Amino acid sequence: MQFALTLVVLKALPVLIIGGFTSITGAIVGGLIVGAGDSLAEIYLGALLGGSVSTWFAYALAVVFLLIRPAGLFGEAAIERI
Amino acid sequence: MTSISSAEAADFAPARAPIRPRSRAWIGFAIAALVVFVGVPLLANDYWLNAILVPFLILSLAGLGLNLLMGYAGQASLGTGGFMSVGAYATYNLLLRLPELPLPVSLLLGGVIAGLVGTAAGLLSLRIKGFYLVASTLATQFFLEWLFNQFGWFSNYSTSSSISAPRLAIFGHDLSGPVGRYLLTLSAVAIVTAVAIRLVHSQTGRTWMAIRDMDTAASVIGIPVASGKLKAFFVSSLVIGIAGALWAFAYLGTVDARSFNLDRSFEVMFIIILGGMGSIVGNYLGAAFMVLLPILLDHVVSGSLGGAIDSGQLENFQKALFGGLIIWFLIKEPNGLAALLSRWRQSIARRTAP
Repeated sequence: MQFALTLVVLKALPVLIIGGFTSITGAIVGGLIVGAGDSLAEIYLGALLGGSVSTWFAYALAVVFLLIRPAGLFGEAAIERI
Repeated sequence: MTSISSAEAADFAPARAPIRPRSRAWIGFAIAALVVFVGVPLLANDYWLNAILVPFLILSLAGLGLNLLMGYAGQASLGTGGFMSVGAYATYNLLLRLPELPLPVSLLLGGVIAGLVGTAAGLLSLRIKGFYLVASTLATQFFLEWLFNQFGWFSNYSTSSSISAPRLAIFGHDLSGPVGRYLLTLSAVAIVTAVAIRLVHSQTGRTWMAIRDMDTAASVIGIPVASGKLKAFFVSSLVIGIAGALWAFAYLGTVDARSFNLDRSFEVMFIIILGGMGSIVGNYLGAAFMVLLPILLDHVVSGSLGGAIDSGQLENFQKALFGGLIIWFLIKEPNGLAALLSRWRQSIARRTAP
């Protein structure tokens, strides 16, 4: 058993945030975005910043989504009751 | 006129009665201070000071910082490890680049720098709430971890990723021995705890609790929610930053970004969940639990089973045990060990009352 695997599972969180929590399509698309985004960032952004960008890039992307589109790409906008 | 004032005086007379228990509380406080500042360094051996008391005190301090944010202001965060590393690296660089500053000033400035970084991270809390805020503090945690690993300037271009800390000294007194490090940690913890107790009973603390209980209602009755949240992030990260600096200098003796990873964030969060969110005493109970349980478990297992269980299995078992305990506490006792303690004290008071 390896506890290092928790870091892989943790990356599912940005996937869900980007895709939207209520949508299965969103999970697939979010997974593709996070996977491709990580690798592209590693090549293009990593060249500028000196590598290992993929440790945080997915989370930063999720924060951007939370700020601009909190429900994610395919999620239903939550109705907030007070 | 005089009759009213004498009636008032009569009214207020009973209120002055509890002065005796108060002075007794002060005596108890003085005795406790004497014990921890003088008694413990005289009695405890180096193992206890280095391996148990110092990490216990530092983890309590980190717990206190997170508790101000999560237990009092209601903003859950997993960036604790990151803020600890900011405090450690900031203090290291201050000691390195401005050696004329005394150690307490460097520690405090390191904390302030961590507080500013925390405030910047806290800007997200103005728009993002609850579980989503936890996810976005993960970004802070991983980014800070990466930053200190990636850029050599922070570690003074040291070739290995862990750098040894400079010698600890205050006004010429050497603090690098176990007793010195214990006293440094204890003084920092005592001062920060006193300030924190004052703070949570002040206007600021009440603002935080109003935001925690319901931020919409708080903003409706005119409580400045945004500045309250940012203040909570600043103070919390300041305390966590001091804890991080002490962790690097007084406990490990090295500054290493790997000792401030996500596991540390979870550890501090577990401390306040076990100890009690929204309670100052809870941090100490939780940290003591966190430090002592693995040692106790180690002794019990090696005593009863001998070498039948290897250390890797034991470590996994510890993690499972902590996980189970946390679930149990969240369901059965959301206010943690602090609530258990206060209920126990009440029952004793009831039984001993005439």
